Amino acid sequence: MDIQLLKLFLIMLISSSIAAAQNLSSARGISLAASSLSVNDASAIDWNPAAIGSLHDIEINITNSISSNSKGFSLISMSGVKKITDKQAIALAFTPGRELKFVLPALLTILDSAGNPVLTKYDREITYYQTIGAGYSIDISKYLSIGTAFRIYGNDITDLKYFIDSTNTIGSREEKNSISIWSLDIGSTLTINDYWKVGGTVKNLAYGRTKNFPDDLDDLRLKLHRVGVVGASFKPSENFLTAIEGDTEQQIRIGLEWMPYENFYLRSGLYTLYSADKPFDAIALGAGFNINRFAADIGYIWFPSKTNSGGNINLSTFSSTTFTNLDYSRFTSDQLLLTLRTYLGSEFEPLAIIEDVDIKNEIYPASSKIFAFTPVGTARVKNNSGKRISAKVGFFISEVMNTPTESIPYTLEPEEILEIPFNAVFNNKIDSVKKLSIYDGLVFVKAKIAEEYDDRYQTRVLVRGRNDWNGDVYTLHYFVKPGDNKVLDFSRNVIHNQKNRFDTIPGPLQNFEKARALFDSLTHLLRYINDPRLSRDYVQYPEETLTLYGGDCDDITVCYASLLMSIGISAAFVDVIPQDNASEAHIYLLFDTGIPPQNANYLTDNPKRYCIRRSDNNKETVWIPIETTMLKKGFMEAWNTGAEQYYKEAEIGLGIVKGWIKVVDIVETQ
Amino acid sequence: MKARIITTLLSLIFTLNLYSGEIKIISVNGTVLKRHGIQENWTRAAVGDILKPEDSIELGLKSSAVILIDGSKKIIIPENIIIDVSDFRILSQEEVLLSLAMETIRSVPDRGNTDQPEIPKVTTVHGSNKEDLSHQPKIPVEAGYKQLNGTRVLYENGYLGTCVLRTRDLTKMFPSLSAAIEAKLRSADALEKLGLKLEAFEEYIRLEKENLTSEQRSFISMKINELRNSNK
Repeated sequence: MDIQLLKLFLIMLISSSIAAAQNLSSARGISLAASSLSVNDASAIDWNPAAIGSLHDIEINITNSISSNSKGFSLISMSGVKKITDKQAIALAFTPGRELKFVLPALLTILDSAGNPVLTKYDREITYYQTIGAGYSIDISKYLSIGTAFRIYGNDITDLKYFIDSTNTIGSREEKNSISIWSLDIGSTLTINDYWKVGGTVKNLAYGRTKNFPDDLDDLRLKLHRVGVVGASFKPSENFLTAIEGDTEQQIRIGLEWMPYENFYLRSGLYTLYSADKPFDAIALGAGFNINRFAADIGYIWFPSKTNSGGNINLSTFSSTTFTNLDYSRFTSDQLLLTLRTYLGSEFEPLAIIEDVDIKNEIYPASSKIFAFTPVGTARVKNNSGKRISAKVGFFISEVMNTPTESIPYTLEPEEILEIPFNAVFNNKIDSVKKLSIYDGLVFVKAKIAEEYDDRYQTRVLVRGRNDWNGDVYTLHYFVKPGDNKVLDFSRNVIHNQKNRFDTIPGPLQNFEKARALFDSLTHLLRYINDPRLSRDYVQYPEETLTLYGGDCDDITVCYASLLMSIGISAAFVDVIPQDNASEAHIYLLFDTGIPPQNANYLTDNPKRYCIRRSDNNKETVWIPIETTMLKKGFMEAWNTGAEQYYKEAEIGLGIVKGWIKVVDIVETQ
Repeated sequence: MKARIITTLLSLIFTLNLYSGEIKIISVNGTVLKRHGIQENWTRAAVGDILKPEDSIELGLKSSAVILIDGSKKIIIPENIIIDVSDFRILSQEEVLLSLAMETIRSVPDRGNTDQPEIPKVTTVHGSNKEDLSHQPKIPVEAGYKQLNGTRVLYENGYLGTCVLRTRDLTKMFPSLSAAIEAKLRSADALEKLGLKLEAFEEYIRLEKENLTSEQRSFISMKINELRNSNK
């Protein structure tokens, strides 16, 4: 039998039912179309490797797809990103579904011994696939990043070989030829400002193969070619993004992303070949949402032309086809993609961290307003980045503050540690704290470019009861409430009841006489009661003293000061802390008669009964010391005792000069 | 009350520390009065009376007295004088300086933090604000003269610190007295002798603006130049 192997058919058919397996690595990427600069997942290794560094510390991306040529969802790729330093990141991609498979049907004609042709069919299978990809990026500066990606492809061709053995029998065997092909991409991104970003990539900048196919199969080999892509993205607000890019394949892609609700996105993309007759090559739509560390995206791409993706192509066209990648080519068909993303590492490297928090003061409700201006504590903040940062420290106690406070910004050099003071603005609920209570306070630091707190520190804050006092005379005036209704009622009643008497008193003596009238009225109303607690721990507000008809030294002093100030008479606390016995500290009062020193004899001929003080307007006046514990003995005795004490302690003992007496003017507060 | 008594006792102890010596009247001639503490009334003083730190003594015209301090130092007090016994003490330069400084410091309200909100005081005015002082006591010029004379005794007996502080207080109370200029000049000199040249210089500068005689003015100019050169 003459046996003659005939030529293959010149026309080969691509069986679409077997071969169509186009793969795309990100649902967001495909629906946004122009993703080289706006990619935000681990598929950056395919879009633009420079973007790898902008992702989370550890991020995993899984993409499945379903197309008109496949049966059900199939896994396309798994990729992951890991930051190795704050400026460098690596990425790996495993791509089991990134595969294109073609079938080349052929007929073999065998002439039998009679010379009649016998036809035998056989298929050649051609498979292109990507095995693995790897990427690396580095931030050159705050604004410029570069990256590179390396991919390895496989190319298998399975052929049926016929042969005639020694017994003239025709035999056949399947022969598989395989080669590996590699390619290298580079990319860069440049952040111009908060809104604009530009960049570009060169795909397949370098590529090669491990070995060659036999000559008769070489036309069927995967042929890569170099492509350049440049683009720009614009993000005018947190919920809107638009991007455009073009490549040397003459394709322009435009994409939009809109966040109508928090963490929910809608996307659309347009693919157009500007040399083609058709207005566009493909369009895509997509949506996505984020929940904490997870995100899901869905995207659909639709090609109006099914010329090639439908199934058949002639051999010459196939042989001349070159590829940028296996994702998007003339063979890509309509498909739906689903991408799931998660990140496992820290959300971001904090720019600043709180090393320690020191709450400087207990909080006394009476003087709590002081913390709007005086720090309640400090946070030791460290610059955790390699850059200069601007950090603010905030503080919040949920029940007794309406909003968190925030310090002024402090500039920290890299690795610098700074004690940053923070304040607190308390609401009225602080006054309802009846006894010693513990509250949870939140201290946080916010660095300039961070959107979230870089660090937070839960701490305990001690809030005292409303009547608690820390013993510091400088804060006692917070208990003085001349504007309180009960105080005003009392002082007005006293003055009104003695109106006729005051009308006969010369103007310069009005303050003195009114002060005397108020004190003597208190004499009839109040009882001096020893504080069962340590007297310097607990102070009554004036309305409490007037309601309870009594109080101790501090309470009556505060009450009398409130009454004086309610009718416009200035007062000051005299705080005496004996040098050798601090536990015997006591407080009494000075009030301003408004009488100039040269008229002091209106009151007394003995200068030891008063002191001369200068007021805010630089005017010197005569001030009278009043020992409020002498309540029951009346004004004159309280004056005598106060004057005696003041003369001995302040004048003879030089207590003010030596620092064991403090005279503190009472400043009215809200 | 208990605390007050204890504190008063403690204060007395401090006071006694300052006045460890006894002050005794050993001679009186004419009208010599004494007043205790914050009392308003004067009583006649006699030889042998022991004076306390919070006491004052007053001498009328053509009167004199001799007091003995620490049993050794005699001070002759001439006529027409009021003087506080507590002023017979030596203050250190630092105490004088601090006392002068504290006059300003203690007079400025301590607001803790100038950022604090200031709320206007609630002021009520009742009745007419009478400025008719016709029935009010006149400024006791005589008492002013006497007390300013007392600063001279302090100066002449080496109590320079108390001389300065007392003069400061009295010139506020009796600014119109012509004797105040003399007292201020004495005070400035006392400051200089205490080594407080800057304070003395400032006192002379203030005095330069007063209504001075030509002699006083030329003297003050000379002192200002002298102190200015020494401070350079």
